[in-house]
Amino acid sequence: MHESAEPERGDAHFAVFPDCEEAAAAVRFFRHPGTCVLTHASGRPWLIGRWSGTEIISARAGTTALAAVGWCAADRQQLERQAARMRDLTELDALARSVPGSFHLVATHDGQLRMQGTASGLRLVFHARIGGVRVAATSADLLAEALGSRPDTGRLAARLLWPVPHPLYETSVWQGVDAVSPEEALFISADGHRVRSSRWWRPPEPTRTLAQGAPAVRTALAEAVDVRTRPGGVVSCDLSGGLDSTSVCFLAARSTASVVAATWPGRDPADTDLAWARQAAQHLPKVDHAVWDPDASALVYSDLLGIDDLLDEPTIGVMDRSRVLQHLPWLAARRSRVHLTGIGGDHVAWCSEAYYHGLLRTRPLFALRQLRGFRALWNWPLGGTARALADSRTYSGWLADSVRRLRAPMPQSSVTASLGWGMSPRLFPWMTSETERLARRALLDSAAQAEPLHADRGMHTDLELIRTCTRILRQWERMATRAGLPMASPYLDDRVIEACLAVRPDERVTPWRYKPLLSEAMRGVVPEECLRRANKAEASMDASDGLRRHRGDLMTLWTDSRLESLGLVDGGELRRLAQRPSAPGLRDAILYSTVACEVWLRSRDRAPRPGSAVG
Amino acid sequence: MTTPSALDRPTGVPLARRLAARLVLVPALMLSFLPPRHIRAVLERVRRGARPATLAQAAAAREALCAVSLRCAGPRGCLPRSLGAALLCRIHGAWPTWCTGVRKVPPFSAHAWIEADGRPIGEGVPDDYFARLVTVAPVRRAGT
Repeated sequence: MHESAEPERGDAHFAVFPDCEEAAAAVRFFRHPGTCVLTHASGRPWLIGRWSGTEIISARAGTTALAAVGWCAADRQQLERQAARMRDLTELDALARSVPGSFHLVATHDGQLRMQGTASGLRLVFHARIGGVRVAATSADLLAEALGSRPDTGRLAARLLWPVPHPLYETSVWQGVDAVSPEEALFISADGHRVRSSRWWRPPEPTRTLAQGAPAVRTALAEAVDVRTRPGGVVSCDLSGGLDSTSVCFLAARSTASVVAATWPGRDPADTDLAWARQAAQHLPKVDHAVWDPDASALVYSDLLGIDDLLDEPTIGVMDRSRVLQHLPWLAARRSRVHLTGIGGDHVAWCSEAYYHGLLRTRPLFALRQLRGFRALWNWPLGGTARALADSRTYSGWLADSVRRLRAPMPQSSVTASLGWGMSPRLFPWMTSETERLARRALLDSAAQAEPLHADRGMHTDLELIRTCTRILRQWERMATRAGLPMASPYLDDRVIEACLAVRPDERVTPWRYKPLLSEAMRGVVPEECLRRANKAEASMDASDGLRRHRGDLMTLWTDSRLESLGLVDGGELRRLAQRPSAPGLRDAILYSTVACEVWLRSRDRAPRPGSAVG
Repeated sequence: MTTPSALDRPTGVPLARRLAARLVLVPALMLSFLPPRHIRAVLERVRRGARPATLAQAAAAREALCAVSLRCAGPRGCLPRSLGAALLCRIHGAWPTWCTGVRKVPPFSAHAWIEADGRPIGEGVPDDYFARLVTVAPVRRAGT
């Protein structure tokens, strides 16, 4: 942790302790100069960590106490009423399922603890046994540092898979630190010895029509933006020209806050983003529109060697880190309090074609017509499409089968991944047989009891993509705060996700219209002409330039590689690859998981180590 | 580059033009499987006697192809789409410049399209965005 920095909104992190004598031993690992403390009614520490006064709401009634940390639409009075009438911690399920925003919710009642993050996975909960009691925390490395534990090589090997399938990414990579699934709340007994988790969130039943669902999406998204703009002042927004960020901009412009909108035009001359952004800006006379110089924009793979702000697990977010952070200091200098992104719009409003696997069985004629369109749009071959549609393996069966194809070449077409349970994980040639053995074991162990996130593979894929995205985002959010400006992504608030996924997939997912749900929801908020766009910019040029420009950094990364010293990769093979940045395979994201793990291990070396381990 | 994220099916294309587009669709698809030099040879023969297509003619032909064929409307349908549009122009006595080439900015990516008056039709890119590798332009007759 960076103890010297003054905590800003957006980088709250804390640990939660049971109300017992034994906890005192654990508490001393977390109490540092500058940390904030909330106490139990007994006076013993309850929460210890760092947060700013504006991002915590807490309330107390007798031996019951509640705290919401993050962006929360509830106010203190609401929490006080809840605390006063609470008989049982499970009553908080209803609160967690109704309040807009994105926040950790912590409660203590008659000595028992409850802690949960968000269903989106943006705010997670971890726990570990420290000094004899269970301690929960918002990030795994807080606990790992107190434990003096090391990353687990087997779990790291699983993170080298591309992609990492559900539920493998939901474990902590640290020895001795356990993770809680986003849809579950963690309970710790009064003596601090027992933990259990209980499910507080389920995905909505997708039964609303587009017409019924669009107003709910509008309300949810407007509230998500309002939670961030309500305090007034200046807020900044991305205005990429795409539907997602444009919608957020128009919603923010309705608030009392003054809005600065920022556009990074693509470097590709055929990129039409800027034209669309300018058109939107014309309808927003009060919004200050800043357009950056495209040639000054950072490229993918920039600054990989200098990263020292990574959280508790490897993330492919390091690849785009510089691009995400680059303009934040400038916006902060313009007194922006928070930067709103359009990230997540793709995930909640575009969604997976895999619903058509089920729809083919329930509404075959309709499904075939739509699938014909998808085939033309995504270039799916006929045979592959038919095979993907006929495949009716269970999730755990699919996961277990995937171990047989770990070294197979990447599929030529996206159809198997798009209509199935997801993209089948791969290990690339530079990954050692030890990595293969460890990853195989992790996959088979998971497969034995793996449940999909939903029985419908479309809903499963939508939820998995949301969770994969939020795992990157939670790291970007911390980096953004350190770069001077907290960042927030309204689309990934639980209420917005619920409103979107409640709409029937046959109306939400179609080849004939681009994000029909979002354009329907924004009718009346965003001008008609800005809703008409049906394409999106592709940053392939930036990606390929980045690889060429930064090959020196990649070379350095693979020299004295931490992954190599763990026996997980063949460094020589990677160094040879860095010399051929135009190799055709590199256009895909095949280097990402390796770069992510290597950069993360290196940043751990750079972070200050805790002085003492648990005695 | 911008990638389409939904299929754009043009509406309001007159029936006669749609029928004509269907007529050229099969030869266009067959041509699209030939190696480039054969395509070129066939097109050079077909274009004879045609006037240069105007921007409007070329755009209407491209639109008609997208209206009758999902494959042509799809983002990977550039080859049958451009061939079909050229053939459809030819039925009306005109010829656009049929081109294949690559985009000038990385990464490498091949494309086929039609041009009129030196401008790519319906591609949504600047005029010099693609480098032309093979072109079959209208034959300029003496005096024109």
